[in-house]
Amino acid sequence: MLEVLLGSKNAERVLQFILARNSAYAREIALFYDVSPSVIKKQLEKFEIGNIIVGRDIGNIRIYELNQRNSLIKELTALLLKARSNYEPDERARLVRKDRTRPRSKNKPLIQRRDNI
Amino acid sequence: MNSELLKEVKTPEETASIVYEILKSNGIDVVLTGGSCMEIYTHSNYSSYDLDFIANPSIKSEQVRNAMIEAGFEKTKDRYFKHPDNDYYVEFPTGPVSLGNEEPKVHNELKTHLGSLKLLTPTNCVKDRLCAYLYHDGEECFSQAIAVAHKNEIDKENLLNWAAKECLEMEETVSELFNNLEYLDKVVDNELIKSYLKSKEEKHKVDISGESDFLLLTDDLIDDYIIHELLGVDLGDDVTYYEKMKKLYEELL
Repeated sequence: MLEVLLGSKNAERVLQFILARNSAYAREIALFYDVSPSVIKKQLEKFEIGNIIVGRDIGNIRIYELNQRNSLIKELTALLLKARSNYEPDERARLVRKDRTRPRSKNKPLIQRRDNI
Repeated sequence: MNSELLKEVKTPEETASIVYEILKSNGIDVVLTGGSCMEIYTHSNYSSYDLDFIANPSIKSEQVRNAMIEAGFEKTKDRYFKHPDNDYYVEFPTGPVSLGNEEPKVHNELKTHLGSLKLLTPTNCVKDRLCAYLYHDGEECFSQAIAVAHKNEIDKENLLNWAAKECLEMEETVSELFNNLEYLDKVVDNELIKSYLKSKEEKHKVDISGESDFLLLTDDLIDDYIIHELLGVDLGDDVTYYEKMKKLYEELL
């Protein structure tokens, strides 16, 4: 919906993902949308240069979040939320539903299914 | 116990009951713990396909392994058991059963059509979910604790005493759980739903009178048990949930 305004579908995806998860890194976003990490990285760099998002390094991963010090961030967030509310319910739910972050035994498969039992 | 039945069963209590009976027949006493107890007590349509059993400390891991292998389970290169014809992953974490500082000795015994199953009591299952919520940042576990407490009889005094021995944050969490449960005892109308949503404003840092914040809270509560009960929507039925929340906003705000 905002792709025309933001320049591309992946630009919108990047901002929507960061808004939904509070913070994110390139590979995580790329995996979620099943697109090349380099495409996402390019968008992240563009938004970081534009001061829309800010990044910090944790180990060798760069984590991004919305730049709350940007004077337009409130309006941008409202726009993204409105656009998100018009997504198909499945797409919207998938985006906002948090991944499990609790500790889990090493290499234990994480299977989460509904309605098939 | 005929392990052939593992091919036919689908629910966590069925598979857990078969495993329990297999181990029992080998003299191995176990207790089912963790998220699968919540799935059983809430008849959840969601499953993580995990069964975590804790064995009596006197049991050696080799005894468990032998009994499971004999029943047709395969041990993965990690420490899980999986039967080729069954979806569940079975794990035997090191005991004892612990719920924060408490090590419960009394458990529940369910009778299923396949035998029996020893598992956490509903009250202890609530404690287990609250520990996961508070100590491991498992945001979804608070809602799970509410669901267990709502659908089962729990010992509130026991829960309060346990929380008092844990920490101040746990006492506050239990108090919040009881406050949340009260919404489910009232006659549901839009005003009640609005008051529930307003009660979430501080925690979610929103003001629901504004559309953006209402949309944000709608998404934040996508796995919230109480709002789904108040709206009469099954958890996971996201299409109906979004429709009803949109209608609510138009009617109320």
